[in-house]
Amino acid sequence: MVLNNFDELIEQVKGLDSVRKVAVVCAHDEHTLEAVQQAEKDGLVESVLIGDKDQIQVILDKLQFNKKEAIIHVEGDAACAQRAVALSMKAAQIS
Amino acid sequence: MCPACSCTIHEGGADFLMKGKIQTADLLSAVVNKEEGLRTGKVMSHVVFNEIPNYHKLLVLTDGGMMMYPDLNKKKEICENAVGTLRTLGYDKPKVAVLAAVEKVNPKMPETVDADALKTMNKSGELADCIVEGPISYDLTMSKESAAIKGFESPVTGDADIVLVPNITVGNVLGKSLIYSAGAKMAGFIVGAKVPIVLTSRGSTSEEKYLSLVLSAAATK
Repeated sequence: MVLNNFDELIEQVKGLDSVRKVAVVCAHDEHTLEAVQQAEKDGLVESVLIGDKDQIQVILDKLQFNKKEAIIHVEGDAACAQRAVALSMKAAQIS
Repeated sequence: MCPACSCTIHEGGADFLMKGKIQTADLLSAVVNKEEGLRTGKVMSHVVFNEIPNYHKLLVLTDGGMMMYPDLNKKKEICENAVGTLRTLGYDKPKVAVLAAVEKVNPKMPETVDADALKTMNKSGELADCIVEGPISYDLTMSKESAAIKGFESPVTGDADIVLVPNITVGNVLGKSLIYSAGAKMAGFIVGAKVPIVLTSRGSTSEEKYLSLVLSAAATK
């Protein structure tokens, strides 16, 4: 098979056995959260947002993106990256 | 329950990463950390999918974002990362065009020598699960008619799945040409770590970030 366009890729993701989870590192970025919001709305991914809770919340409010459960408050860029890597290590070990 | 790690179980883990407002170098240094990072021993390379209005399928471009001036062995690994990605998505034998300016090997153009070597590795089975053509120019890669006019026969002409560029500059210019001049849409991520990493640039649109999320989800199997 080949993929002819991105719509076919989206269909492939809809057909997966489970919804994949993305860890967003230093998530206080509007375009990033907008994309995550849309992908969640479309049922294509779940997300966990890592970073400064207050800064993230400001953008979530602006986007009307309700995400309270899945924010991990971590201060500092390096610490955010480490936390995200630790989270994905776990997924990698399971698979 | 995850027996290997108890510290993050309540947070549920993550299948892949996405860069937000953080310097790429800061994110990658955590990724490549020897003890606690996500390295696999393989090279990490940038794989971009393009949907181009006048091409009949998605075209993968690699590597225009991560490896700067890869040598032959690195090019082989970059090729394997892209081929592996497509095979995860369900492709059987992706067609790879190793780009150069010409089809003839010329020692004064080192990328033609590498391209020829990659094709030889493919024939011998060392570079498996794909069909490699190279050196080959962009027009012959994209157009069967151009190839016919020049008398160049290959299953890859007009039907490439992957274009492997000789260095980051070619990849960057070609990728941006497709977006800004040809109306292409793109999705991209880093392949070669234990999980995919979405590393879109600050200038990228929400749509590109969205499609990159989709791509990473699809490639996480």
